[in-house]
Amino acid sequence: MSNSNGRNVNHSEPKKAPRGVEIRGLKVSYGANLVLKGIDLSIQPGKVTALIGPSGCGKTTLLRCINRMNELVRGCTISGEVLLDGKNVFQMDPMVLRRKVGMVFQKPNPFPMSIRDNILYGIEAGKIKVNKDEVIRNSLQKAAIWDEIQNRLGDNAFRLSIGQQQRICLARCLAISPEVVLMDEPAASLDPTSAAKVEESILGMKGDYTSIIVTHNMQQARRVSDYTVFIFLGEVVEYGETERLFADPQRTETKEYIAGRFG
Amino acid sequence: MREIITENSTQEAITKPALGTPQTGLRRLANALIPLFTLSIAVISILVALVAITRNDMEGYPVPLLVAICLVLDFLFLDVYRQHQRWDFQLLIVSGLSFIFLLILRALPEFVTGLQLNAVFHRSVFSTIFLLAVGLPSMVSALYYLLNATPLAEDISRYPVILIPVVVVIGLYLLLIWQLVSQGLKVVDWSVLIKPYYNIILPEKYYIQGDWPAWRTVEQVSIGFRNHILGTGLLIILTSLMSMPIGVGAGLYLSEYGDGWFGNTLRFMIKSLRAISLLILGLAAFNLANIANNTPLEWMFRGTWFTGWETLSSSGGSYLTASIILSILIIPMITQVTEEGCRSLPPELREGSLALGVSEETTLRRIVAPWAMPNIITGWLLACAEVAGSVAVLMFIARRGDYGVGVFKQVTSLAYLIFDIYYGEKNFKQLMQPYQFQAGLLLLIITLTLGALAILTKNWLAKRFRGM
Repeated sequence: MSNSNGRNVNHSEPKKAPRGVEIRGLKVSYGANLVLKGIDLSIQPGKVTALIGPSGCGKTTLLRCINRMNELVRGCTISGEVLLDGKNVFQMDPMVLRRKVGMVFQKPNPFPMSIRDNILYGIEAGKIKVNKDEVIRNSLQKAAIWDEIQNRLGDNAFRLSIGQQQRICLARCLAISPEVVLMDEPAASLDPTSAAKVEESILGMKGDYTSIIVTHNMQQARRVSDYTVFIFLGEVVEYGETERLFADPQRTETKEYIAGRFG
Repeated sequence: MREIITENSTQEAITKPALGTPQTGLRRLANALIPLFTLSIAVISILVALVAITRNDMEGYPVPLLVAICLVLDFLFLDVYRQHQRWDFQLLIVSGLSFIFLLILRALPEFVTGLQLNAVFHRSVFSTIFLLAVGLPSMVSALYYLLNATPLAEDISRYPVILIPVVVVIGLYLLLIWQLVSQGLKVVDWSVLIKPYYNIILPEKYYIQGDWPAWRTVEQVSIGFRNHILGTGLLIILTSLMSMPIGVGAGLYLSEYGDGWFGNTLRFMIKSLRAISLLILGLAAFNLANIANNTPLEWMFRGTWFTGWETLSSSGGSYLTASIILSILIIPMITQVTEEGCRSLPPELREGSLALGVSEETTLRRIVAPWAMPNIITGWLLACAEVAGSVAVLMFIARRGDYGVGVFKQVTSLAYLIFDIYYGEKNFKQLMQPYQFQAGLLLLIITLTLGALAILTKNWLAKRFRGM
């Protein structure tokens, strides 16, 4: 329970401490195509970690291995270990795992129901007993959208703007109080204002959640993340604190990618 | 002063002719004369062509029209050169074509038999084809040159060709509906809607001047199609109850797990089931009605009735038999629309649900099934219309349904009634003949209402379940 991550616990509410994620020798292939060629990473608990790298290098695949969404893809074979709180996720019940590891997708995907039902969907399906109004309020506030929609929670989430939809998705993910939040380019399809709000809520999540964010936007990675991983051709090229990695990249590939020479 | 000048200049810019020679009204009329003449002949020949296909007595018209088209297109050819300085050889080709058609038409015998078949048809069928083949291109060219051969004129002149099939279809449809409505509304007796049909001979006691009672037979006749209307309703209800759970279940299965060989086989079988001839289903129904003969289950599959002292079995089948076989017709429809509905769900929504730690089963129930709901309901309503209108399936087992409506009673339906009026017993035929259009109108109203409901609910349900 308390392996090296006892800090950042918010004692005002009985909340679980964020967990780190340990990845060991992860290899993923789609058919004959080896996408991840042995990844070893240790994601820090309670911090924001950015995954950067050119398109097709395996960032999203790595992300989707952590909550086992990759298994839904046909012809996908996975070997290696992903440890959450010391337990291998591939030996856990995927539904229990996904309640601990939430995910926000690149394309906003609210369900065609009211905003309220969207937020409560995971709770009701998981039969979690909570104060529903409080959960709605808290999660919408964390996703920086409470002020905009607090008076129309009964509206259909499909009719919101794309930026609002994405924040609803973030709130929906936070409502089941996960320990790790995976974000697959959450701001890529949004307008600058909404993207700024999403970034704001990612910053607000620091300490309470372990966040992993895939992004193509160097500036965004620099603004929101504490640690950055540079992945290239299915391998981790460089991993370190964001400030250090951007200011003084050790490897030439990293330097060139950050300078915008390729990718 | 300045204002007047600007006004003049704009006026000039607008009325300035394209090629420098100012065209007076009279001259413009003279230029339009030959295209206008061509257009009118072309339109007349198209109209004649459309009428001639339905009648044999239009023999006098096609030949002079073909001659006129042949000649007037040559004139148009020359006129085009005079006005636009170009040789439009298409006109000559159409002109030559109409001459060839003319020769063929004169050479044909009045009745055509061919390919050693017994089919005989009148040569007016050919004249229709010929007139359309030359009438349409000449109409397009005439309109084109009438509108000064601009690129816009090219577009406008082609509109009628696109429009003609639409007009023909709508015209035929309206004609059909008009015939049914006008004949059906010639009210003979509206009480037929609530009276059942029966024609039975009953014994009756009678007395002659306070003497001993004697017996005579009295024919009791009631004309109406209450049982046929109620029977159609019962068929719809029973068939829906049987086919909806199976069809929706199979559709959900195919969309969720149907990618393997088993799913593909099932899909193939369902598709072939949709293509099956309805008459074969009718034979199957006949077999099903006979299969339980002389067994304790006979009363379920045969239409039975209780006469007061004994239970009689009909020669046909029961509503149960009919709806079992109609389900075979409906289940593939429901399965297909359900599967299409489920597959139209954006994959992100399913992923989003699974990523929240929600099981496949709950996702199916709360995300996939509501999404497919508009398709399912629409498919169901169309299936109901199919049930109401199908005769071939019931042909061998339906009877007149004189003895009431019930799950194990003798089956009948409105669609079968219309068939029965033509091919049924002579007595029945004579009694019901005056009401055939009323029955047809009623069936039309039922099916059209179901179709309209399908369209309306689709939009409404899409709003409700998909937030669109």
